[in-house]
Amino acid sequence: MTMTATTFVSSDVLSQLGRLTQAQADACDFGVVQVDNAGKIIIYNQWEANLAGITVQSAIGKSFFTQIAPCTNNGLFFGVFKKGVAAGSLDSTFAYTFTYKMKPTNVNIHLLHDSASRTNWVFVKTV
Amino acid sequence: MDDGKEGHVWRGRIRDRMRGRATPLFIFEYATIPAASVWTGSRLWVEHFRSAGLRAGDRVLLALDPSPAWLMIFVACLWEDLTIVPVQPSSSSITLEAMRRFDARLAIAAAEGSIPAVVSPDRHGCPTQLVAPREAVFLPSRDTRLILSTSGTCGRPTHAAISDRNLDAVLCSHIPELGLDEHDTCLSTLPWTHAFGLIIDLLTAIFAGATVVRDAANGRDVSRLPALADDWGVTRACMVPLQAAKLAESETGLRFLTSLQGGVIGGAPVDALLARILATTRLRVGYGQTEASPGIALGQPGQWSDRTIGMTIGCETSIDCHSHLLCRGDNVCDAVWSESLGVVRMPAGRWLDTGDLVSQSPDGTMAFVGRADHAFKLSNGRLVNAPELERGLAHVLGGHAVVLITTRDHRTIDITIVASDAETLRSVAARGDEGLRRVAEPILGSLMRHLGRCTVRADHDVERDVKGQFVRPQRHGYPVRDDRTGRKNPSSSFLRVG
Repeated sequence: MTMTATTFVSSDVLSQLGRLTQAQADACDFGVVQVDNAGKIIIYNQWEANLAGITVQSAIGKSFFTQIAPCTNNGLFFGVFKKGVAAGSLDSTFAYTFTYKMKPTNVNIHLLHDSASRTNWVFVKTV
Repeated sequence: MDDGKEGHVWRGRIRDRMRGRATPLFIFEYATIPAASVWTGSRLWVEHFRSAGLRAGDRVLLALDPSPAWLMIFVACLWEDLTIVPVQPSSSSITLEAMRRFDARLAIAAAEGSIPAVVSPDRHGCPTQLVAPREAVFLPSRDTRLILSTSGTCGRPTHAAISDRNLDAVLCSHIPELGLDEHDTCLSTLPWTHAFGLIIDLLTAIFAGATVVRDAANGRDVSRLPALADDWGVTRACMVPLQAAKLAESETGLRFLTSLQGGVIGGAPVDALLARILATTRLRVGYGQTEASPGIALGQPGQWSDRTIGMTIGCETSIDCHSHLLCRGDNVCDAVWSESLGVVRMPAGRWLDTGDLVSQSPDGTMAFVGRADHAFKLSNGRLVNAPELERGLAHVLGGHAVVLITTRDHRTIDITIVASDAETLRSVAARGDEGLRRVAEPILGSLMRHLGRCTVRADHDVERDVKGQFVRPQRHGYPVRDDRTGRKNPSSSFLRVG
């Protein structure tokens, strides 16, 4: 279904996932969302907040897949996340269409489990 | 916006099914879009239609390939009670001609450059420039939601005007019976411009909240379907018999067919060989004409016999004393579209003569016996109007030639040219393979690629195979007398083409 990632995420970011701070995430020109194994948001960067039209603070602690981006609560998106996390091998990229500012917007998604830091990530970039 | 008012059949359902929802989910080769984003895109199209001054019943030509934009526009048209005319994308000139034929006020097409009354979506599927709609000749067709071209099995090819009532009837009868739900992933290969692919396949999946995986090759290359199904966990697929037969030719294709949890085979009769294979699957037969939106009968999963069409669903059927299958109910279209008259209403509660001859077993299961006329379908669903083609070919061949078009395998057509005298026989045979092909090409058009055999012969009784696709034996009873012996049935001259 999804392929091993050919990612748009820079190696700088990938190399420090376990230590990435909110400020460092905010400096990225793509969406950076860290979630726990259940999908609860730990980091939600400013880029994603701006496009989604919500504040960073209101997103933290909520479920990314069911509360902040409920359009991802399907077999492709949340399903792949759950399977990948359960297997400890989440690394999938695919095209998706989010609604940003009331307009469908094509994006690339990279779902990643960083085994070194045991953290889960949703990266989003508009195309 | 003016949401959810009484009288709008689709608004409540669309809102409930799509707004903020992750399913139905639509997967294309280069894009994946959840219902929530189809919804927001459709709102932009609704605004666009309103800004352009479109009103309920205005006709909109939808000339795009299956895509996120197609879905957004379709949903917006349903929301606004516009009349949708889905057609294959084509050149600008053909699009403009189609706008004229259907008296469309607006067309949505991937047009290059600026064309009057034609809008092109942007790369996200959203509307771009606002254009002035075309002035319509006829009144808005408020009660018509879809205009779909028919193959002509209920008479001459025409354009069925499908109403909300028709659509609603088929969706309500079929979705529960098919057992579709949000956990299903449906492989979509059939065209969204025809009733089977649009209503039985796509719309049932949408309103069941399923995931739809669209094959980028539009089902033309079945060898790629098993891999596509594996990639996305496909559980269901609708297809025409030709696709199923081709799949069954390979081990991976057969494995794919048997892996499916459901799906409908329709559009053409299923022969005994394919029926035996399908009996090992959970696929079922579906039957109905575009004029019946197109749901008349449905089989049970895995229940296949030679030429079965299943049992009546969602309507009333009757088999008259000539074995014609008739249908009546909310699925039968209320009107047809005429280029010269606009919407032409049909008698309410009418019986639709399907033009098919049918037998029925005691349990109510029906089987296709043949056609009441001499038209027949290839296994890809393509109707071959044999008498019309035969007349055309006979005319260009001149002399006393009689032409008979038949099929042996439902994939190719055979043309037999019967000469009633030796001179005509020699004259026709002298044209040679290529000469006959050149004669046939303008008459057959795209059917040429299905031409398997072309024979020239003299014969006594030319008849269609009653057990095959065809009925009424001895339509042409042309006794041919050999000039030399005076005997009937001289040996045939045989010429093979292709």
